[in-house]
Amino acid sequence: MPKQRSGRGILLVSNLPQLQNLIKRDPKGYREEFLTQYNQYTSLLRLQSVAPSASTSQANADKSDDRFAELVNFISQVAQCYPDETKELPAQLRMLLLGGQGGTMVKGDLRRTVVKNLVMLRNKDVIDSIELLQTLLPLLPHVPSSLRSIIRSTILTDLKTSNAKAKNHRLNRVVQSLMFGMVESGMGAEVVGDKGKGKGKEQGGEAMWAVMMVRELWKKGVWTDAKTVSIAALAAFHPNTKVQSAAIHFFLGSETDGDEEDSDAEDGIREARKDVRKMQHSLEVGKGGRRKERLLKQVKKDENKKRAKKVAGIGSTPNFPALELLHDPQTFGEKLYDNLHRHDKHYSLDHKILIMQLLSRVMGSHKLCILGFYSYIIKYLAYHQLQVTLILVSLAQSVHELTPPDVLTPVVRKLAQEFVHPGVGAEVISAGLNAIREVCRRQPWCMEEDLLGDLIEYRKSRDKGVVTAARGLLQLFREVNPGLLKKRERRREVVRARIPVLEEGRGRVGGKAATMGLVDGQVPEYGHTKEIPEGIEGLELLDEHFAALRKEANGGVSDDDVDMEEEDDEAGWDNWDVESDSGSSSSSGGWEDVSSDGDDLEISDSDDEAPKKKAVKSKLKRVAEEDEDADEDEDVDMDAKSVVSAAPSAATEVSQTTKKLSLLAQQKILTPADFALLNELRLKAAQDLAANGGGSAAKRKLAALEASKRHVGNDEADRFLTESEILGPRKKAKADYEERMESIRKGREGREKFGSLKGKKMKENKSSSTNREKARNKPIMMALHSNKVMQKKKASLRDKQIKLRAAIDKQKRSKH
Amino acid sequence: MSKLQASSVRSSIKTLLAQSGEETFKEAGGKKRNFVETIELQIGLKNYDPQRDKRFSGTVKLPHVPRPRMQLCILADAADVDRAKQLDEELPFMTVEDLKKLNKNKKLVKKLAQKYDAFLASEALIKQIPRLLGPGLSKAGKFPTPVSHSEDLARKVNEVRSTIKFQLKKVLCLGVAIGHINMEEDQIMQNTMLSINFLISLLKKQWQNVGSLHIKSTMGKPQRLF
Repeated sequence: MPKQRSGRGILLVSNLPQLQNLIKRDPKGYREEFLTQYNQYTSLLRLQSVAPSASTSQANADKSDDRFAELVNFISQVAQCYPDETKELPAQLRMLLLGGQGGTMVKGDLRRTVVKNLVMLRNKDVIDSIELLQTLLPLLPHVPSSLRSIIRSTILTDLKTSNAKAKNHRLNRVVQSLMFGMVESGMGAEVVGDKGKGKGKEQGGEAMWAVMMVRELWKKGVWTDAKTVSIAALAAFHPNTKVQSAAIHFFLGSETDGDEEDSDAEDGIREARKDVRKMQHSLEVGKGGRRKERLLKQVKKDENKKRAKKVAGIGSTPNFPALELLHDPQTFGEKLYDNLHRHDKHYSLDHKILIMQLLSRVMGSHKLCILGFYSYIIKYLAYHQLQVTLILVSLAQSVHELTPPDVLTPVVRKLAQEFVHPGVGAEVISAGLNAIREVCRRQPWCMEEDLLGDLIEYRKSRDKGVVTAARGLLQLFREVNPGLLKKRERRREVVRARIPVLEEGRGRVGGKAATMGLVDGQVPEYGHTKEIPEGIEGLELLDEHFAALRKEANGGVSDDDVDMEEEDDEAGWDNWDVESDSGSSSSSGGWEDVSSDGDDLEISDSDDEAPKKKAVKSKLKRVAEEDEDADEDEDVDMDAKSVVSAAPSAATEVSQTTKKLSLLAQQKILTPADFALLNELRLKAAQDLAANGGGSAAKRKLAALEASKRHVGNDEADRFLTESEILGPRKKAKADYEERMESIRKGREGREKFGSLKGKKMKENKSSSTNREKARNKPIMMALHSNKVMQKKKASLRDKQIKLRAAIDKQKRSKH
Repeated sequence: MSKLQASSVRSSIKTLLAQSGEETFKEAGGKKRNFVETIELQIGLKNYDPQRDKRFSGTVKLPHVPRPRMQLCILADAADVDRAKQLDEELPFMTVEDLKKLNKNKKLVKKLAQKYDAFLASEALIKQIPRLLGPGLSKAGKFPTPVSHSEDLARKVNEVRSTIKFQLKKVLCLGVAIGHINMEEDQIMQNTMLSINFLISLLKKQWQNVGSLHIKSTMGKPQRLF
């Protein structure tokens, strides 16, 4: 049947999907047909590269483009069947997209087809991710938005999947250096500000896309390393302001973004739990079955997996905030300041504030000194400045304990002059006072006595915000440096006891003149650190506690050389990791293992015996051996002296006592139980102190301890400042007539009018109700007792007869 | 590992000392080096979220000097120059004029910072340091410790030498020098215990935050404690 045969032939040549189907079933058999198509494809490809659809007429070009697109589709679909023949295909597609080697880029639908086929090749593992991303990334800035979103999501998912199980370092490195190059390529250009002439003239180009990608990948937690941060750090100095601000937002926003990501995971868990409950319910209510039970098991497993993943996610990969990962924060900060300072005229205020905020955070968290910043910011400190609160925030958070006070003093003076005087509104004063307080909290030595005296007078103001702010300042200085306050403004107990020491103490002989005489929370002078501890805070409490226990055990005889500590060592470790969050079966197994293995215990016994014997020996012979690691306090004092003897004649009375206190930490490893006990003792001591009039500092310490016991983060000082802290609590001003009417109108929006729903409102044509309606709706009890009804009931038999008769007559008459 | 005992710490220290000791290294499978090896405590953390939890850093003074050969330099005024010269082992010093000569030159300041392990400064000078030297010293984490005229200089030097600092940076592990192999076993033991205890007290969830503890001499094998 010739007709059929010819039909089949036509089918093969023209119907590419059919051929594709056949090829996939039998690649070898249809090799010839494939080669024909492939030849056509290559010739068309050559045509494309020589004369991209411009030379021929429009209609013709469209036709050939369509044909070419079909062929590209076909070849890519069957590429995996003929790997040798189509070796060149990915490179050719790439060339089509990027226009390398003298060719030009394709446009329009054809481009979309090529992109899709390239992604398909990746999905079929013909090419690897690196090749794909190398092609797609440079494409981003050149394509229309519809295609762009496809490309973007492709890149993101590809990176995400290849980093899902473990980080794919090779891929990341390649992509990151690509992005780095994208940002770097634009760096040479001249800075175009976003103010005045050059405003909005230039798009960010590829650098913008690189930063966007980096931001997204960081937010998703796909990339968390320093290289990523360095891309953004570079982009923060890009000549284009849009790129700059995107990069700055990357650093500023990384805090809140983390929460978002977390809530994603949380949502996943919640969803899974919902599924489980649904399944259980359907099992309870409906008919059970093996399949359903199996499904339930599966769902439960999923949920557990998700939860475990979340728990593991906290510990396994450290997610440092982006600011911490900066390679060279000092240089970064200096360059930021340079950028800000040099292009002060070009940038808009919003952009400048963004830069200031980033700069101040970098300075605050890395303790940098960029002294020019303070003289720069002074000119922005005026109450009529737009967005001055944000500027105050960045000023305050840039300060830290290593900022030289003499740089800050003029800033504080200016703040006081501009913001805190009777000529301005109460909000301004409170903002100024709050800003000064925040600066002084970080570096108290920038304050001067007379200025402080003036400022705290504002606590007698009539505005609540101002009073709060001034009191806050007073409170701060009572704590950090009461020496600056007048005598009657200091805390009572400080006045009584400590200040004389502080004033005379400067010249006292002794090791600790620098920090001596400090009241509890008082901040040491510039450059001085708080005295370095030689043990753990509150350890002496634990020591005392043990001593008391020992005393009890020995029947009231205080005996130092009996070694009790080692006994409860075992018990101290009991159960300690059971209360940890990872209460999985494996950890409890490990615990069992340890408790059952006995030789650990034996070693410790034999070990403890050596010093014990020595101790006994020394007691008997009354010979003090210098190099002995004994548990006896006297011995250790000797020991300590021998060590300290390197520092001649330094072992004063004071140092001896401190030595004694820190001994416990040197003798034994504190167990989890010990730490729990220690925390409890500290809490108790703090409570005692607070109860016995320790003042507000003691109370604050108590609160901090209690918070840490509840595992609430008490790292307020570390967090960044917010605008509301500068603004302070504000009393809501009384609304005027317009505002009230506005709010009333707003309340009315989208609600029904008040009033009865009968008649007028419900009906189509508004009208009042008729008598008939009223009668019909009359409550039955009222109707029963109405005159009409009652008369009928009470009527005599004769009356009833008359009425009946009349009714019958009437009916008869009406019928005729 | 789910608990740490004093005895196991001691035995680890013993093996560590044996491996780099002069007579004992052969049977212990170690090697004797031609310098005094430092002993380091290495800590790996777990369940620690650097974004949420407070950045922790803490300094503690150890009972025995872990790094006696630490290079110190004093940025001194006239009185302190004299005192520095009079010490048993002379303390290198820089005067204000010397510092001014550096002229805030970044390279020179960096060179200075690299040359010494830590700095002291006279109390009167400390305020001028940022102006004189720029950010170079604090960048290197070597901002000088103030010393007043009334303080004993030798004692202060010793204090600086025996102070160790725990600070978390960019990775969830940290290491500190806690001794050297010429120290007595008991001294190393005390230093180790104190630093472990102090570190644990810094952590929010105490032992639950500790992933691993190792001690290691400079060229020796690491010994796992926990």
